Amino acid sequence: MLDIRGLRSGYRNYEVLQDIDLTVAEGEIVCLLGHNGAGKSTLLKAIFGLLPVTGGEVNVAGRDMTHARAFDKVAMGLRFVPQEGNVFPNLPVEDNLRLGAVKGAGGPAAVARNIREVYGMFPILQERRDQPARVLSGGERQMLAVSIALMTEPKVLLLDEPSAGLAPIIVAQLFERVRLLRDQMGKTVLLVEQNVTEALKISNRTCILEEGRVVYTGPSTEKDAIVRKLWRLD
Amino acid sequence: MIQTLIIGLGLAGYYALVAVGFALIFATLRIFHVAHGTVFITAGYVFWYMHRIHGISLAISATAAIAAAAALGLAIDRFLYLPIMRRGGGMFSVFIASLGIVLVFDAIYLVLTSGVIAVARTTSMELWTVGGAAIRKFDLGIMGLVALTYFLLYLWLHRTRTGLEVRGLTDNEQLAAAVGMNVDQTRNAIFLVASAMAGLAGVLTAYDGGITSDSGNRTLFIAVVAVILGGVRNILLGSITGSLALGIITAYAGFFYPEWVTFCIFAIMIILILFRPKGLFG
Repeated sequence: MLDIRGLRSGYRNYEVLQDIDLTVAEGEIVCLLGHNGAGKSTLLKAIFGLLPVTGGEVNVAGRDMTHARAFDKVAMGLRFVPQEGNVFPNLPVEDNLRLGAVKGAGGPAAVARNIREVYGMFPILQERRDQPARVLSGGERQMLAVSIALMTEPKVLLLDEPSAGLAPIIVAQLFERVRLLRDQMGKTVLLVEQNVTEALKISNRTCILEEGRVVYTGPSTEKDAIVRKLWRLD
Repeated sequence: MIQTLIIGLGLAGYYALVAVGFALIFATLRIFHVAHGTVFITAGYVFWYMHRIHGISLAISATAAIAAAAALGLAIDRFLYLPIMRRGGGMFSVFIASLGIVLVFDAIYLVLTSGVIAVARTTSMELWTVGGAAIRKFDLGIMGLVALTYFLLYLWLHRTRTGLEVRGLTDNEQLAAAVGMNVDQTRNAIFLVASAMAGLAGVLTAYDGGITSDSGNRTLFIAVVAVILGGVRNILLGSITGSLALGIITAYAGFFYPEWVTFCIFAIMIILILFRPKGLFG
């Protein structure tokens, strides 16, 4: 579903990612681990088109989307949920959801149906529909951020550390939702995480980045090998 | 006194039309668009040229002038601001470019008009006498027009998809791109709407008291003070309250101490910035 080959990208005058190869199959959660500065968030941004790609390619559902602009990628079924600033703080929850549907969501009927579906999944958002997003708790805000992305019924979700700053119980609930997105709705997820334990529980495969390169790829059940690699114990 | 108040409210109307567009552009795109005054005055001159010089009807001249303002505003963004930003230019570079536009157009208009005031009106103003006070019907008309424009702007921002996108862009620019918004299209809409409103103000000003080549800057800076005064958190409410305050101050100062009007406005601006340095940005 998501096929990345030889991807090179980074910031002005500084190439962070070097020849990244990564594949995420349809209906699979792949978790991307690595220390701070390893290039995890950079990779998500480069895939989504928020950073210039200097080499390699990004294919979504068999189509070359390497240099497509972000709104074309959204229309193709790819969505990115940033780690920070992932809601519109001063707009009501429902306007946040509507903004999630500005591109590629179909007509007003489809938007209304998707809002209902999101409310079904996260009833708390319905309770708070008229409140500005800034008053939501950390967990609610992450739920809203993911919901904004769900408004266009995407095929592939790029989630950047959804658990950052959340209490453990909230993390477990949020990850349970992410698991349901795959199991019940067939979504494909590329998940950047620091919370290794929870991420390994729900993901099919794990990929470790180090200094902008992929240094390990394997099933998430190989917990020992992953932890050893991550902490450079080998 | 009531007479002066009505004149003040009429003035507030011009300021509000210019201020709200300036605030809209600043809040959404972080562009300090001083050339908004050039857009305003261009509409005034187009209107004056068509209506006064060539005797073309009021409605056609006004519509053409507003369209010209919208087109000019859009062109400034598309052919100047956007290319500068694409090449990595920051807020300051864009501001300097905007200032350049102001000076270039000022010079052109000064040459073309030889510095003579351009009054587009061909008839005298009708007055109403209410309890001893003579009120110009025109001032009441402006107030009605501004109220209608603000109402339409409110509907646009809160009831249309483009309006929703504009509010999203104001609130979180990065996420606006990430949700798949075509930010360039939204930008075009913002410049068109803001410039058309400045155009309407330009037409009204040219019709009323007339314009000279520096009227654009003067009006723009008053609008900027209004925006600083009202803030950009709530674009509509902020620009209208700021404009009302300045309109009334200008009218009363103009009545009692006409030579001190400019002093009053800009002294207020300096004091405001001194005490609320984050005024515009906060």
